Amino acid sequence: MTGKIVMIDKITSNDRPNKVVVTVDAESSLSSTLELASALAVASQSELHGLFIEDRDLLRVASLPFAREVILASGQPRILDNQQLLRSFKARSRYFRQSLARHAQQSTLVWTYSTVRGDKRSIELAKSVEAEFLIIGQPTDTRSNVVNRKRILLTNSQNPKLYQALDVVLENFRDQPVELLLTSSANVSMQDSLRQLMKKLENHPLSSLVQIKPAALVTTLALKGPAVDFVIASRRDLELLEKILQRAHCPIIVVY
Amino acid sequence: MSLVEQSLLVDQLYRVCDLTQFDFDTTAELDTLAKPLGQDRALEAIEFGVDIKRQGFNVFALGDPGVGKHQLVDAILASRTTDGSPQYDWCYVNNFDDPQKPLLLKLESGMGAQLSKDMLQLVEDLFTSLPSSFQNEGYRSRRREIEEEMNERYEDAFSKLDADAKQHNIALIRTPAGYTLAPTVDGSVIPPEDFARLTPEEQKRIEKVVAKLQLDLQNVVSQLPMLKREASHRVQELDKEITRLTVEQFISCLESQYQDHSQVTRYLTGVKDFTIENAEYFLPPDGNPDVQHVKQKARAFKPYRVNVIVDNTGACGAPLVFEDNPTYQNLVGRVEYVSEMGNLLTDFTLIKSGALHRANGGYLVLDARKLLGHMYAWEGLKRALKSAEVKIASLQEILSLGSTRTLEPESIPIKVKVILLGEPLLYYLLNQYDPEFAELFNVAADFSENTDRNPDNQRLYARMLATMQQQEGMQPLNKASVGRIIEHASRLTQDGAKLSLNLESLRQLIQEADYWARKNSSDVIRVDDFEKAISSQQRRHDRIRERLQEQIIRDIKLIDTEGSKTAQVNGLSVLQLGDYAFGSCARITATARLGVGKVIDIEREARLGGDIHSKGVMIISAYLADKYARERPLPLAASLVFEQSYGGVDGDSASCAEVCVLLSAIGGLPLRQDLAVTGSMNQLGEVQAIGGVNYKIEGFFDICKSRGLTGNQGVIIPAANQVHLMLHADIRDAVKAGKFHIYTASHIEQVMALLSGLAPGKINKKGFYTAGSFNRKVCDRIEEFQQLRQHYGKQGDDDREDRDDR
Repeated sequence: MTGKIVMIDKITSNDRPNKVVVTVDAESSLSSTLELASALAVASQSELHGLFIEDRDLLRVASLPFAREVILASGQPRILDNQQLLRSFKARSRYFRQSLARHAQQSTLVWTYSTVRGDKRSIELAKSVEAEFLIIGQPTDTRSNVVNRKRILLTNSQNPKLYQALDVVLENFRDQPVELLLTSSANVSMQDSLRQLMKKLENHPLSSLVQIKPAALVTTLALKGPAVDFVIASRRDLELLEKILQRAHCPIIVVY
Repeated sequence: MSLVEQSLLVDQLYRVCDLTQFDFDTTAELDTLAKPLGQDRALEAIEFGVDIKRQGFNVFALGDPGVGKHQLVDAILASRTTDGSPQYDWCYVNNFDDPQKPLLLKLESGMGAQLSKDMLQLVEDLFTSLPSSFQNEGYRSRRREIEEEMNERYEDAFSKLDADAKQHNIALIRTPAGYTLAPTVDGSVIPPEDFARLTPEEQKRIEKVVAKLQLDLQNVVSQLPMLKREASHRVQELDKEITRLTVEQFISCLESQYQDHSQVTRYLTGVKDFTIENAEYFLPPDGNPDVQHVKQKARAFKPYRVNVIVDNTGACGAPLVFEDNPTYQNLVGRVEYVSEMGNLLTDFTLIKSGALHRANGGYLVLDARKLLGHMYAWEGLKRALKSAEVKIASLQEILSLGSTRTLEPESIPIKVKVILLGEPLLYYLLNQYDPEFAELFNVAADFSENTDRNPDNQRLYARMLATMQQQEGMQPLNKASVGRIIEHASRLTQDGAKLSLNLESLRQLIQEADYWARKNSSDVIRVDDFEKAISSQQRRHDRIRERLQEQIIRDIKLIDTEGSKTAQVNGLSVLQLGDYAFGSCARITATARLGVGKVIDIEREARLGGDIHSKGVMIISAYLADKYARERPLPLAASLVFEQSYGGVDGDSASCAEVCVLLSAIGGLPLRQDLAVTGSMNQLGEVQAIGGVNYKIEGFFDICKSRGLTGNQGVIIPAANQVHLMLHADIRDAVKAGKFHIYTASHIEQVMALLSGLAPGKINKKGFYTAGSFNRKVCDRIEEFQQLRQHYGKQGDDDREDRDDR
């Protein structure tokens, strides 16, 4: 299989093929994103499609004469060169493709791959309508989670796909303590879903379920406090999804 | 002196044990002996050596094998090991400051094992309690506080930077390696071509703002490692605080338990500090406490183990250690290794004690021969005794054969009395060749191999046999068999006036007699049982003797036992095969001819003769020269040889026979072949005692008996050997019946007279011996040689003159 470069000009909402799409850019953390994507593809018996986004904004910055980047590892600045950035994209894209292939082969999944250049947020939102599950790789959180516990943020809605995704995530962290943060709203009936969740959490020692209001979502995703490891959100609440995309520092699972 | 006068009576051939001196029927009635017979000297030495507490007064018990060295040392030391003197346990524990140098603990007996148990319990408690402490909600919330505070400080710095940037329409953007700052228009990064269209002033302004924000960004990013480090330190401090709370409650219990032992409390402080610093050892990797396998994990956890290398739990006196395999490492201990993934690893739990450790404060008994046979064992023992401490080090280390890093356990101070058991030869060799030996082994306990045979000692001997019989659980010996054993004990020493103290060979014989007694359903051991034991033992060893005798009887080995022959005599020898000896006969022949007074020892020339035999032949030469050619050179050459001897000859016990056969050859005197001769001789012709006289007589007697006793056959022995006679009953019977004779001689002329049937004669004023005497015949023949020599000497002179004239 070989990847192909597809230029996305507009978001379309045509037929949604049975596939899981995983998008990453040059800054995204790969391993946890890909692991989750392949697990979801296996669970939903879907094709796995990898999409590498070459961020247009970043290319623009690199073209500015005074562009510098401050290196996280050293705290020192260096010139942000356009050619160097493109080489970096290429290398990162190749690595992503190889990792995707390895994950897919391990799980005997059908996989495709493509690279796209454009506005990152627009592409991610567009892709969210094309797939059953969209997993968006985000930059790695620089914070260290001292307490050994996985934190999963779930935006509640009546969409059963959310729970399917959660099921896969929980299965990936079997026997680990899990803290589940659930956004609740008055217009959603959660009784059945909650009951199911509580049952799932019984398999995880020292786990807890915390309900948060949608208004507290921004605070929860902020860099303050303990890091969130995964976010599971619905495409249907676009406003909330945009906020999550802006704030989250962990892989985001978007269900249609 | 007539032949009859020289012939011994039957009573002189054997010293019978007088049974009337015994007032018992069987040895069951006798009291056991409290101390060994005839070993007073050794006993005193051992008691002195054991009691004196000075350094260097170790004991070397020297004596032949079987004299009871081990039993006596054992008996003396057994009484010293129940004196209730305080004993100590010795343990090695981990040195938390330097694990290569394990620490030594000296504890009262029993305390080592207790400490080991207590430490195991401590580890179990820590494995159970520490994970619980770290799972505690209080700990978790405190840790989360630290984490959140750090995140908040970082977030605040970034938020402030982000807000500042937004005020100037600058976006903070993530790059593959970090962050960058970019001007924006309506929330999007300004395209480069748009930026180029801005006025230069505007561009400069933006660049200036970005440059300032970049400096701020650098500051914020630089804070991140420091924040992480601070968080990590604070978490570590929190962990230590939590660990300390848990550990101190357990350790303080142990500290109060061992408060009188400063070494242990110091060690416990080390344990506490180590635990506080390394709490993660006790925490399960997945965060879940594994209470089910705590015991198993505790046993596998080595740093807190106590290696009790000497455990004197229950000991009530000084230890007594017999080390049967005194290798270097069995004496001074060893550091063992385990193989893991192809590497050899060790730690303080693999330190093993040696015999010196186990005998510390007591006694160590070693076999000197075994000790000297093991490489560096003797050196190791000396080093330990001299320095009064044992350092556990491998031979590789001692010999500097390698430089592998290994453990260096603290040396253990020792106070041990070493008793070496060995043969006299070893003692004298060590004394002579090892200067340190005398310094370290000041006390020699010399065991006697025999004792005087007098009535008192015979009664004590009976009690000694009773002791042996009772200790071994054998049937009692009746009075007659005790008498027979005493006679046999004399025979073992080859001296009728002595008793053998080789208890081991006696024990074996009595055990065998006990076997025959039981086989005959007898409740006592009788003389017959003992005789059966002796004859059985002899039969088992007798094959070689039988073969030799058979060759003589079949005339393969030529020995005459009748008639007379010139220049031929029967000599006697003893063959020792292991612990079995027997006598045999050898033909000695001589030749004499004109020469320059040299007696050629053919054995010596063929390198088959030993030094002592050569010495004997030289004495013979000197005797002949002195006797027959004092004032002129001896004009003859003679040769001596042991016929059909292929294995070497040594000793001087054939000197008498050799003189006689030489005189026979010189004087042409026939010698009796029905007699055999043994005895050594000095330059003056005096006959001297030899060894193994009983075996020698029996050897010739057996040959004569096989061929049929003629009534004339016999043996000539030195008069000094008469007291050694303890001959077999069949010889005594033959002598009694006049069919065999034992003659004694104190001068060589008596021997020659017996063999030649001629008197020695007396020398007259003219210097001539009585006519017809053997001395006259020898002198006459020497005179003939003188004349011949003069004749040939003159002829030689004439020949030389003729040559000169020519």
